[in-house]
Amino acid sequence: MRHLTIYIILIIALGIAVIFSLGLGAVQISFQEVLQIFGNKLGIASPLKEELTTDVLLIIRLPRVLLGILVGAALGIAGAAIQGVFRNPLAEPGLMGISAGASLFAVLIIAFEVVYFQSIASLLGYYLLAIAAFIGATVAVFIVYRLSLFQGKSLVATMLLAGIAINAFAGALTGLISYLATEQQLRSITFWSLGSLAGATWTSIYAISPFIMTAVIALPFYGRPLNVYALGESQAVMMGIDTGKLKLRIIIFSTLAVGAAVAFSGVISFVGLLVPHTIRLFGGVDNRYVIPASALAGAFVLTVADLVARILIPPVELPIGVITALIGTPVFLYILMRDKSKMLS
Amino acid sequence: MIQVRGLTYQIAGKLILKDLTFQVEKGEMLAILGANGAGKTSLMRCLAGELQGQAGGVYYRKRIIKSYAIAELAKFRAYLHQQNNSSMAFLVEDIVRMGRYQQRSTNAEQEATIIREAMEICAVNHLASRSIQALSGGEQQRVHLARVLAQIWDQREAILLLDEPIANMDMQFQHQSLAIAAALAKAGFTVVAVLHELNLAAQYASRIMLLKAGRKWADGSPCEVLTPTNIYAVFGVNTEVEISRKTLVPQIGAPAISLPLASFNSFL
Repeated sequence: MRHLTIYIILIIALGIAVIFSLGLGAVQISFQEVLQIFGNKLGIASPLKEELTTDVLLIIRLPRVLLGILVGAALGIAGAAIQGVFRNPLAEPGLMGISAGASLFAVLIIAFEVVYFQSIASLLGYYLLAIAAFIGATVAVFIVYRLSLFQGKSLVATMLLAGIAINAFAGALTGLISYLATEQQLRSITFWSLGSLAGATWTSIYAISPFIMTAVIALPFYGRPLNVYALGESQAVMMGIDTGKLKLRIIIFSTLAVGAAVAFSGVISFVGLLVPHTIRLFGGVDNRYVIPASALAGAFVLTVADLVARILIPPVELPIGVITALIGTPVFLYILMRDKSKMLS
Repeated sequence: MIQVRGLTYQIAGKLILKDLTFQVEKGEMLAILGANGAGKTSLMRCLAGELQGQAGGVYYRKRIIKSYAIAELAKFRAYLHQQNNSSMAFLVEDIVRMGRYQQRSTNAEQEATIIREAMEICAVNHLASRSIQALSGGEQQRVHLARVLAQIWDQREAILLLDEPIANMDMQFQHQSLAIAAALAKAGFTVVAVLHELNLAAQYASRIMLLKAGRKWADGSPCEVLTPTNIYAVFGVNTEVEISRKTLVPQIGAPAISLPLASFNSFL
């Protein structure tokens, strides 16, 4: 019952955030206009007189809002699932090296594009960066996972430490390249490493939705086994769970989702960590609820953060990672302090 | 039901279990006793199929344990661990229900009955909607016992493996937990329990095995095995053993020993 209420609240909140996000910006679009434009697309309303408004909504605003929802859902759900795998509420997808690997490859492209990647760049255009980031994320996770294998089993503690090491190493290389980068390249690097949804186009939506939707649909099915797994690896095996397969599948789905998200939006910190945690504070630790609810809450948080990033100091657009950290941290700390005693009862 | 044939297990070159051979029939409740580090938990993990020995093996119903799928084993073999992770604040009832993870054939009504009965006999039903983290060590252990029992509650010939099931429990629940295990054994379960309380083992187990440095030291009825000589050999403690004339169960008494402080503390 309680969980159902939380789902409903989250869906309503997300809906409201989407309406505001579609309407607010350099060009204000009223709710009626939004409805009329969608109605016209479906053939049940007359077209809007202002063609500019229609274009802004359909070509700029809508893909951006959709990208925010997809990226937010990906970060939230992967955060919840990875915390389940590590049996630790302080874990997040970044610990697997996803963001660090993606950053390293992205920065490589930004810094050396002019010199080495021009022929590929002309072929892939804007998507070169996204593809490189996705490959970087996958490679980093693969290395971390391989390092954690011992006699065919992946050791969670080793995975955590290997993740930290790979993060530090990739971070150092990224830093080294940034040091050599030009002024212009540095700006791109900074912008990318703080995250932004500004690159949203319909093509990017088509490109990332298969990855993210696969994870968003698949991961909730692992809620029940992850609950059992929370009691301990050996306990889970005794209750009939193939923990090796469970871990591997969750890592693959999470990497697909977060890798795709990072590829198009840069590194957006804190969402994967704070969203599942907040969800747990409100409705308990049952993963059958935490995983899907984290997808909804992640989508909501990112939609709001992007809205704030766009309208706070127009026409300047702030990096969304700054907003999620600036708003997310105090809110999270407030909930944490309020519920400190509740966690023990 | 369980056959162990020439089981040898070593880790990093250190021999943990050496050439163990024994079997446990259904209806038996075998207590495994031994000093710290004698290999009791390793033996239990081998019996459960979690560890594989370097030589020999464990067989369930004459089939080597390796040939069973993880999910298949979970249907008739349950294992209570010495330590259970409670870093996530699950509710007591949810934890007990997790025991039913692999038993999908039962309907909701049956499942509810199983959960209720298992929680009642372990006396955790009044804690059902509490968080596991808010409970004491003994209460947590009762919750996990209820979970493990729920896993095989409706199986006629299940295997129940208990690794120090009563270590943190008070006197009442030490007796109650072993009585539950003994009753299930009578009904056709095969029960193996690692215990440290010699008197309780003598009272509830139908058979006792003493383990010393990974080898079988003695194996038989409580009266046969629990002699002052065997106990001294395994634990290094002088004891007096009397067979109760009423129950014919051996009663082990260990007189207190005194250590002069100066013999072990050079500061005081």
